Amino acid sequence: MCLALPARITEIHDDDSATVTLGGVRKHVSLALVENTEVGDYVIVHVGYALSKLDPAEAERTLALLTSLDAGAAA
Amino acid sequence: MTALSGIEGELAVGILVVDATVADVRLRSTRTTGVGAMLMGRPMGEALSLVPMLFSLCGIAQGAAAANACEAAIGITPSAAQRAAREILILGEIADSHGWQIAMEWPRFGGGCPGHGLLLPLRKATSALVPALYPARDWIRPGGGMLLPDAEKLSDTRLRLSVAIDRLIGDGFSRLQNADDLQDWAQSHDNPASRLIARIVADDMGSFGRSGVAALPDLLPGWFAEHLTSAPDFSQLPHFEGKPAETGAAHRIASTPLIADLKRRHGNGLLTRFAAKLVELASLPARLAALSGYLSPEHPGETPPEPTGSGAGLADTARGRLAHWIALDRGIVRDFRTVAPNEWNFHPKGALVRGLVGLPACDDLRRRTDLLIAALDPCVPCRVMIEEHAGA
Repeated sequence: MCLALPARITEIHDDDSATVTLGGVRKHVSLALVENTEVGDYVIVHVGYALSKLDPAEAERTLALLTSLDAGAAA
Repeated sequence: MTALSGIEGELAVGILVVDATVADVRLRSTRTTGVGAMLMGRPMGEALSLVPMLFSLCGIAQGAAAANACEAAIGITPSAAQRAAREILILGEIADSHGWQIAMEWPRFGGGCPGHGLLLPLRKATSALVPALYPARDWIRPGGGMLLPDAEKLSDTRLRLSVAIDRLIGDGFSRLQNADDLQDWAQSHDNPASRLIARIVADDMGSFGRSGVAALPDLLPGWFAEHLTSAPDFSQLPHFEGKPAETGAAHRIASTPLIADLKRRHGNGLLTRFAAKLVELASLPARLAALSGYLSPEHPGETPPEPTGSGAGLADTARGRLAHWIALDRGIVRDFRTVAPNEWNFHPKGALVRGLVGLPACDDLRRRTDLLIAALDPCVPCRVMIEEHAGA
């Protein structure tokens, strides 16, 4: 999608894929386009692929911002 | 509602078929265009640092447009070296985006499987550009960051990018001069790009989606400032002189021989739009080399304390022209507005709609519609619904 939603890796699987959580929703994504990922890392997800790894502080900051936008949209 | 569930936007395309003809196409976008609201009330530097982090596909272009807008508002002009460095980063992002389309999306239409193995070397090459130019990663500062170009790393990156592009689309694409050359190239190569081009030619779909929607001209930032500030809905429904316009690679490189010939034969149909992404991708290593000639080490630009003013800035994404407008009040963002390529190309009376209305609704209307959508390349997922009615 257009907005960069940071997803947190909760489990890494043998087939170069991972389970991530995004806004409380679990998703299965491929790790084929990122390297050296670990459980707990934040990644940007695009149509089923983790595109890039994020600095945890940046990810938390972005999540807080996007959550405020979502709350505004839902209001 | 879960947190963040409300901002995963999409584009819904409703096609109404009456008597086997596409009678109407209705677009409904839930893409978030309200990012500016998140930045209002923040200090300029903080807002700028947030912009690239908010966008997954075009963060650098978004950041560059915002930085350009701040510079216009403050009244400073970055040096030629800083402008060249910023442009190199933008071209790297365009390479990523075209590469994604070709490797991951085009196999859906041309055959084969999505090829992340072809995409990864390209992405690894472009990811080296920021550290090779701005080791402190402060490229988004107004006036430019601490620019320390590493000639060796940049040269290596260009070489790796060139090899990755050749692996993706085959070598020699830059030498194609006309539609016949393109057809020969498609027949003599076997990669996701050649397979898609060959399929479009074989199915006689080169002109599919051709429309009378004009290209968005190369407008100055002031034009965008005027329209973003005077029309409340310009961000969602942009227009040029009251009419929709199309923006993208086909218009950026319209004068290259291959695209000029394709436009003569197919207008802005599928073949022109897809080939333009290939021409642009193939040209990027040479463009990076040319821009590198302007680079030199430079300290960060000076910005006045607590600036007040407003201005617009532009940047190109793979999908087309992006414009930001910002108003600063003593260093705080008072207003922030944007208009993105998605809103030009997926305007309710724009290129997609005009490319479909009036066409015969043949058996493979859905596939053709998906192809046209891929050619226009929305930045959010797209859902197509076809509704058929008998006429009166």
